[in-house]
Amino acid sequence: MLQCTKLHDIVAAHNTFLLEENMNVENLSEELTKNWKQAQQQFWKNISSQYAASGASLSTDFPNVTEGLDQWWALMNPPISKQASEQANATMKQAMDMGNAFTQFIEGFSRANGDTSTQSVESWLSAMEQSFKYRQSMNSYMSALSAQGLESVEALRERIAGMEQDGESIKSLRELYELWIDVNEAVYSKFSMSQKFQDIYGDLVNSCIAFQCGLDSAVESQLKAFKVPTKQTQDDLLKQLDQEKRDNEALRKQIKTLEENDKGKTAPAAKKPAAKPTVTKTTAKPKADPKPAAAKPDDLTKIKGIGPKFQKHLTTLGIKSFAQLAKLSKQQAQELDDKMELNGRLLRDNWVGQAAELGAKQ
Amino acid sequence: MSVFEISNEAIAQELSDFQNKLASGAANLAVMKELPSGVTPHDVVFERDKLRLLRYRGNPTHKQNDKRNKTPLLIVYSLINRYYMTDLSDRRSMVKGLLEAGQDVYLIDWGYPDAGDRFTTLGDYLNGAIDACVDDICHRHSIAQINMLGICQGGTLSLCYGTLHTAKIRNLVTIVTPVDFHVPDFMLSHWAKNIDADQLVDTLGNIPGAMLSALFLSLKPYGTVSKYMGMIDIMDDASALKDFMQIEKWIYDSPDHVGETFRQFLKDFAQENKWVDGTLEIGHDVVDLQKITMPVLNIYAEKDHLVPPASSKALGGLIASDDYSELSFDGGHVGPFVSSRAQKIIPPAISKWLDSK
Repeated sequence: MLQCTKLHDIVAAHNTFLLEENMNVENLSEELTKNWKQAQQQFWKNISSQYAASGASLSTDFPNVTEGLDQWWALMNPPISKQASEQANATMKQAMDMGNAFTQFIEGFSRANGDTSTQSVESWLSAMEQSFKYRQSMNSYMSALSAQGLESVEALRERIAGMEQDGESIKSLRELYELWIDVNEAVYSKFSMSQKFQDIYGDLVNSCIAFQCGLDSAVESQLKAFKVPTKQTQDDLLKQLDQEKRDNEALRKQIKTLEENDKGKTAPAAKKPAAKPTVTKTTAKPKADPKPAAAKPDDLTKIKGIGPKFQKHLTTLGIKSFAQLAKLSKQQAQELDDKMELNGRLLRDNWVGQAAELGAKQ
Repeated sequence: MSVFEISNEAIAQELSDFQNKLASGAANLAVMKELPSGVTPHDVVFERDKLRLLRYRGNPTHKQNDKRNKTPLLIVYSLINRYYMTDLSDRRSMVKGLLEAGQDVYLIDWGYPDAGDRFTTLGDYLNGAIDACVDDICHRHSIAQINMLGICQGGTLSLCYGTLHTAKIRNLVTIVTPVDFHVPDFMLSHWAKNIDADQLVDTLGNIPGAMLSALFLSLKPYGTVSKYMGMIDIMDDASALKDFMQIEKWIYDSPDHVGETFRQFLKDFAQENKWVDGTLEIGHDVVDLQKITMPVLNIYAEKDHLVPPASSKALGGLIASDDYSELSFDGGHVGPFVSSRAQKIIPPAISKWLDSK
């Protein structure tokens, strides 16, 4: 954590230095050369104070690099012609931008890490604690099972004693094996239905998952620093995806219903050439339901839920055949239900479906 | 007189027999081919994400074809393990039995959920996936109602579906279906009582299939050990060994369980038994078992250690249907599907019951 803070401060100091200098090639060649030594001293001084602030002690002095750099710069920096300076300026600017971007990235990373570092250490510590709890639960579980093992041996002894009393015998290894399995299964099955087992089993599973959960969140906090999409991001996307699926399903159903309704309405009109725009006018008027006179009367009481009374009512509304009922769209069925004041019974008993089936049988 | 009457000669003989069985069995194992995941020919008639709706092909020359039940039957399999338990081999296939008895059989294969399905809810399964399959079948046959058969957790799903979409189910069959999760000998819900469901699902997301397999095996750990001793007994019989390995394949072919749905199962069903006291909510709907008014046939296994018979049988007292029947099968949880005895009993009984409605 300390290291992260240091790194962050050092990078910040360096960055400030670069920005404050507002460099270009001419600045570099004139101003900076002049101020280089001073700038270097300032830079190392900054670092020194940052180290001091972060509580770390510096046992040695910083290297005396400034003089060496001064000489190096003089060697590497021959007087620049005015012609070349423009191009050099552009190149330098590009390099500076890249440098700035890089230092900003490092700064961002170290800051993110710095901010989450406490949390990160805590989450690792908590994961460790969960692992201890898990091991404890596992120990309780295993020792409970081994106690059952001892109990099984005791039960086997009793069973054999019982057999002896009853004059029974074991005549093969297989019989002995089967007796052993039988006794163990009985002891285990009794134990596994006990309150104690329920408790230790619950503890085992919960502590195991808590440990896994702790590890996951420790890893997550690290991934966040690297801007790697986390489980949370994934989950959010998956939730959205599921909602899309639900919406699609609802739309599919809606389309189906509309298509079916449309089939009923446009089927007779489909033969007409629909060339002129006046069509809208003519088709806008809803066509009346199929004429009752055209329908052959059926025994509607064959439909579960329709008695003579409802049949009479339906007849007065012009519905006399299975085919007429079967053709109703969901909306039309609802309207008919309302008209007959059936409080949804028509839909509940599925008169339309029943009518379709009865019609098909004819 | 000592209980142990095992002579040295008998031990030597036993060990030698054992070695022989192992040797000839190993040869049988070595030549065993990849085992199929379901054998009866079918068409995939509908797909949505990983879900596939299968329609099994009836034998066109079979005389029963003329008398085929006009209401198709949709098998809703559990979200745990794979659907082909209903169709392991030619000799052991509930699907085949139902086809031969004249049913038009559809089945939902849930596929293998992955991380992308982690937030799929019980409501999505019921009002989305299952409802889409039911609508597809209804549309295909121009009918408004189908028959539904739910297996284990699929039975629980079917019952929930039946309360939410009552009009679409004509008859409902449930097999080894958990209903009352708080009956005294329900080991799974006893174990689940103290599990922190939220922490579990929030941490793991989907529940790994291998973890579920291990859980189911740990209900009877000694039984699992002795099962392999039983395997050595039959290893020299290639056909019996194949039957054994087919079930083994099914046991370990365990898809991950969608996290969000698992959370609701664990909390609302196993821990709080909500639908028994009428407080279960799915989406915005209350699942009221009193809405189950259609005829119901409830099949349970007498020696079921996963879903105790008492849990399944509780259904009779919770639904409003006045046409409720039970069929008891003498066997374990998978017995009604895989035992050779079941082939002669279960599919014909279901079919007869459906045809009578």
